[in-house]
Amino acid sequence: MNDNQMGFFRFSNYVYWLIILNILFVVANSILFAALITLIPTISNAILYYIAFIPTGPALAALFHSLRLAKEKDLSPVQVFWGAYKENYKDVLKVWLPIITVFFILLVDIQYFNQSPTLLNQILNGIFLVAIFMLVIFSIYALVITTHYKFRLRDIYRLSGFYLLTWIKRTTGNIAILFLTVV
Amino acid sequence: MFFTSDFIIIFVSSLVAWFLMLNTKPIIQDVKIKFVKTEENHTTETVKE
Repeated sequence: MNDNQMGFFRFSNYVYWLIILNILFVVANSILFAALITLIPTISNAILYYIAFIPTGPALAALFHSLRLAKEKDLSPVQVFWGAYKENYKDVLKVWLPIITVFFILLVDIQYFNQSPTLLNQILNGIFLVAIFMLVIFSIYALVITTHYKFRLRDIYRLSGFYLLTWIKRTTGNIAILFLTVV
Repeated sequence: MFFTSDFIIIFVSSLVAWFLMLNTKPIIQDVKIKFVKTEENHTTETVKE
């Protein structure tokens, strides 16, 4: 194969992996999918969203794990994804549950602040929004570390916090990627 | 509107996750170098791959 063919092969391989992994991710998140379709996004449904978000953690971790191996030619994305999903399911849930609990508490608090918008509440609202954004990046680091290596729970949180606060360039890069996606 | 925007996020999730992984790869390497001990040392921290 010449260089052009190699480049094309690599590109099509990435496209193939991304499509298959996306389908698997959606399948693994079918509860969240159903919740998004059927539930009205109000704060009274927060607990149902919370339950629907529980399987998202292992699915995200498996997605991160599989994407790192996307370069390998001989691997099947289905096997890699489900392998990582099954192998890390319990470990990831241990990390994921406290994170989404804090996330939903912050979300409910923000809703409360919005209902009575005094100056103090608006300031707190801003602080909590930033905290949610930081928590999302923190959870990405925690999931990536959990899915690749085996550490104690508190070490995973400490490492995630350490990389969140010390690797500012990478953290702001991740914030920018997520911000662009949401916008 | 809600339907479309939320679903688009789910359908581009692998692409977004791929960009995030590209950006986070050096962190994974750094964890491996600084904090991971191999199984030969019989420690609790091990590499899964």
